[in-house]
Amino acid sequence: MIIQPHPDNIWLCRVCDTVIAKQPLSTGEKAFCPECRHKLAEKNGCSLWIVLIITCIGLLLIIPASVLPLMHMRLFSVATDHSIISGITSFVQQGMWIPAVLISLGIIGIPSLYFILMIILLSFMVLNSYHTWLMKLLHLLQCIRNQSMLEIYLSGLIIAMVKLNGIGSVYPGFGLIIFIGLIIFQLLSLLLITPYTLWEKLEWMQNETHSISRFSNRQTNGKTGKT
Amino acid sequence: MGKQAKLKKCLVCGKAVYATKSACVRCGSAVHMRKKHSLKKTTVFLIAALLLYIPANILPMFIFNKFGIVTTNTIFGGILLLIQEGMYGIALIIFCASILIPAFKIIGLGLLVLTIKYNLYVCTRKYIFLYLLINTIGRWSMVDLFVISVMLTLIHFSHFISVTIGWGTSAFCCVVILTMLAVNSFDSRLLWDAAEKQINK
Repeated sequence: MIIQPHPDNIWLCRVCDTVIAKQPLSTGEKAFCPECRHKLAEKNGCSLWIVLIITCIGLLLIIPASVLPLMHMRLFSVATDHSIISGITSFVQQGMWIPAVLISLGIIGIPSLYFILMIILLSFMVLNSYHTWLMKLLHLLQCIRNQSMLEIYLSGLIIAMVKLNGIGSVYPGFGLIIFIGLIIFQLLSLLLITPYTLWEKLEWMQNETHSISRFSNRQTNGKTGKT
Repeated sequence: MGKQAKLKKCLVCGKAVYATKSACVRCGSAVHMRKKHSLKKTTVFLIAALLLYIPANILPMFIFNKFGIVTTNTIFGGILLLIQEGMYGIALIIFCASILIPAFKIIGLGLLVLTIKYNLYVCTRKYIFLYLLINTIGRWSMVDLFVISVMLTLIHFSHFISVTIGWGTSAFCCVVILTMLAVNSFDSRLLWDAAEKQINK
């Protein structure tokens, strides 16, 4: 016979469904599933303000990174340049909608949505005001978290640079520095705070608001009882 | 196992919930013991991806016009061209990204689905490694598309040298999206259930 543990005292692995006794994590520690080595939990000790600032910078970097030229090419004294937007519009001009949508989502849409959601969530957490729709936002954030394709785009740029060197002279543009900066800021905000930490924080805020409302209810009840 | 302990996991927020409850205590979303219709969905997405994998490899990815000499390049043709020009490293990267990874994803997930469906021999650790590998390398098959998007805008010198895209790119995009959906709808915990069934047999 199996004794049923309380859900608050265990971790369940999402990959292999193993039950593991929950241990208190100190900041910076990670817990892995003994069966399949999948990461169960990770607690980050980073201040919310730092992450908020990083995400704000990241959101601001998206616009110049997508508009400014990432690469230039010169052939017979004719120069052309490539930016993310021009790449997408040339797909659209030739009538290929599916790749255009996929590229614009992967490079611009998902990263900017990620940054916006992070900013909303973190600012509400910093202000310590809880709403139920914050959980829905966090769910959406978790879904799109690993879907951005910035680093793949960068490797695509490098491959194209080597490939086209045989045809004409190719050199990087100013936008490439901003694009690399964007990748670094996105990576930082991914590493510094994990959904596990955010969920724990939200649950704490939820309990806090519940207890406050219960307390205030009791107070008002007391008052009405007096009168 | 969570199933024996009568506990299930909320896939949205990661909290463990009693099996008798239908909604998560923390985030209020619906909780199931296993993902619903996981195998059926995965099979459908995989078959669609497999069907589109054929036009993605047959149709031209891009058409290269160099001083009036027009060459149409499929994925494999592009790789052969790179080998002819002596760029072996890039040829290898593009071969891995656009031929090997999609094929590996389709075959690997197909193997996992068949194992669970027909209760074949299960080696859970190796299979879970395969699943996690498919999950992580999946996005990298987009590299070739990005290279083409760069070529499209950079090689644009009037009518002498220009690049036009073929319908192969659209088919290839669909393959990538469909395999991603297939990986997402697959529930890896079913593998452990299958292993358990085998031990009991």
